[in-house]
Amino acid sequence: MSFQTQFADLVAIDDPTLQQLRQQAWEYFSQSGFPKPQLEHWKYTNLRALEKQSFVIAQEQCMGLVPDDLEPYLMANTYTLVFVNGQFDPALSKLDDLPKTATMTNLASVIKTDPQRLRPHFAKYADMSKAEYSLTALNTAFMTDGAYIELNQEAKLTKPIHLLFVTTPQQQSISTQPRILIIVNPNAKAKVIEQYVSLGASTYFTNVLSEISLAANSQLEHYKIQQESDKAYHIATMQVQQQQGSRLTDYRFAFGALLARDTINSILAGEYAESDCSGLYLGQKRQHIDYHVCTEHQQAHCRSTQNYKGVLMDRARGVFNGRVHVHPNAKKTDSQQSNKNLLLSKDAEIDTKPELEIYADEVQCSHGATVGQLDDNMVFYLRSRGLSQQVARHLLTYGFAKEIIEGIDLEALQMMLGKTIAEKLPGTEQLKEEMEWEY
Amino acid sequence: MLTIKNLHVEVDGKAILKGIDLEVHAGEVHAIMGPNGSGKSTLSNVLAGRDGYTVTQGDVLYQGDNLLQYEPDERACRGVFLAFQYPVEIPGVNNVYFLKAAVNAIRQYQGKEELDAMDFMALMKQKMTLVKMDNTLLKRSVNEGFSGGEKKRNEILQMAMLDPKLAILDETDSGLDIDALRIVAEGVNQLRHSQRSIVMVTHYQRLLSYIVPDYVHVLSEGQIVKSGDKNLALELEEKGYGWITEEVA
Repeated sequence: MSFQTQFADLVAIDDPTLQQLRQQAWEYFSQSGFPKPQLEHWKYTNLRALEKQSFVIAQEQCMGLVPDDLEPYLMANTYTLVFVNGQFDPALSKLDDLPKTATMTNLASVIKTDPQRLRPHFAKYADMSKAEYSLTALNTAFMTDGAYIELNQEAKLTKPIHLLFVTTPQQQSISTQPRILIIVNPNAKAKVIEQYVSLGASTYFTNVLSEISLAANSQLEHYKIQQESDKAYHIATMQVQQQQGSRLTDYRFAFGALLARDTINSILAGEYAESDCSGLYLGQKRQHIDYHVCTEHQQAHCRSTQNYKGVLMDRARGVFNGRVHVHPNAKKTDSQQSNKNLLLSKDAEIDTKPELEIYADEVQCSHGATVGQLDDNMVFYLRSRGLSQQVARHLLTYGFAKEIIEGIDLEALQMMLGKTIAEKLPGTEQLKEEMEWEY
Repeated sequence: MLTIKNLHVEVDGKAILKGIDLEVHAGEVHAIMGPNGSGKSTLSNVLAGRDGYTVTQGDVLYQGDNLLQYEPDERACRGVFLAFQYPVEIPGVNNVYFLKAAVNAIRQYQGKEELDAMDFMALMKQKMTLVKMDNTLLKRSVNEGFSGGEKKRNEILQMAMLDPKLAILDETDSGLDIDALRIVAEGVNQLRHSQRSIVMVTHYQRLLSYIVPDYVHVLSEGQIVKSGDKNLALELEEKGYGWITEEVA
């Protein structure tokens, strides 16, 4: 069934503003269709295979899941919102003792009961009018559910918020269009973990849009962990708007999916804002993983880093496009960008494209990209201590990848990520033992 | 223990070692001294099995067996240890785990039972006192962010843990201040015993005041041009390398 037929069948949203937005979004999508490789933003990621398939927008929730099914993914000491096939599942979620200073709920309920509340930020930041953002339009056209998180002024949450998106095997290939809105008001502070998992090996299409608004002097630590099924298509767009003195720390990990594309657009719209984005992509078999990261320095005295690493095995292909754009006003910008890749097979491929555009004076910017194999000196050092060539290579690969998680201060999450990294790399048994020493 | 016969080695087609003969018995400490570019590091690297060094002539026998036929990790498992001049930093690989994996790889090769975590830590604690190593270094990645002194101490700690029969110390004194040198040298001295041979490669005599060798050899332009006891080192310190090369010429 085409998206067009499904759009026509959608039940209208009561709120006229949102219904109109949705209609507008559909017009943008129907004009552009899926992004084409002729667009600079999509040059290395061809969505033809995705476009050719037909997906049913998941309407009905999968019933009958019990917390045990999610056991491997649930984290202790978190507020947890579980979404099954795109829809909020209150029974599986864990939202006891919610602080009065924050709102954590599902988007569908806000749309239904208090659409006015969405006015200030919802759909205000992510562009959907351009052809390269047509999937943002698709998401907006089909918006039904997702997460709504708002921290009041000065609110400081002690526990992280865990958004767990689960896809279950269905008779038909399904598509989910989750939408996340995170609003952190002045001086508030939050940690959000966004995780995508699959309970089967089915083909499906996740197209998520996250909008984040960081008010003056607010802080957000954001983690995104993508562990979709190895037949899935995962498209994620995150649009961040940062005011003066605010701080974003974003970590993202691409472990799963047949094709995954993350687009991060970060706007530093106030002075002294800080944005630290880092990530790791581990590709194996025929996986295709694309990270497009753009930091817009619009104001003076802002600081940003982009630090991404990739390990590509088998016939996997990685794409990294990191852009730092320093606007004429953005004096005293401090920006560093790094992309390091390890190719473990001769058929693996990486297209890395660091871009630096500077239109201001008195800035400090650096960037660098490396593509290579393991360092011979390191291999020799380990072998000279009795470790076989193979063990030495496994350890070094793991060490390379694991460096990204070393700065994470949520210990349970760091351990979980270390384990997941070890499971994806060759020499798993050895690496698991290494981890036990680490933590 | 180690017999080197007429060893010729090339690097990138250029002859570096031009006929080395050396006999090291169990329990002996030999110092190999020489000016920069004389081939000292080449000798260490060839013995440890680093790539890029081509043996064009000669033999190296270790415990009566051709050492050159073995891969670097097999040499280590058979009891050969190289303390690096520049220990490599390995981000993301935990120092303790690395040592445990190494100790057990070697024990396994030698047909010994692997150490479990408790026995390993007990051994580790004991050996750490040898080089006054701080616990905090254990939690870090191998050599990452270590000072020059810490790196060299870590090399000697590894030597103590791996219990080699033949240890080659490549410029172990380079980059050390006098206090660090003393700690490293004391560590090595405690590891001297009748079944272990040590070959120290060094530019300066300084190290030899702390680790007193049984024999001193002077390497010049790829050949051992003079051998003697510890007094030869003192003479070199006083007169420099010039007089030997002249004497040979």
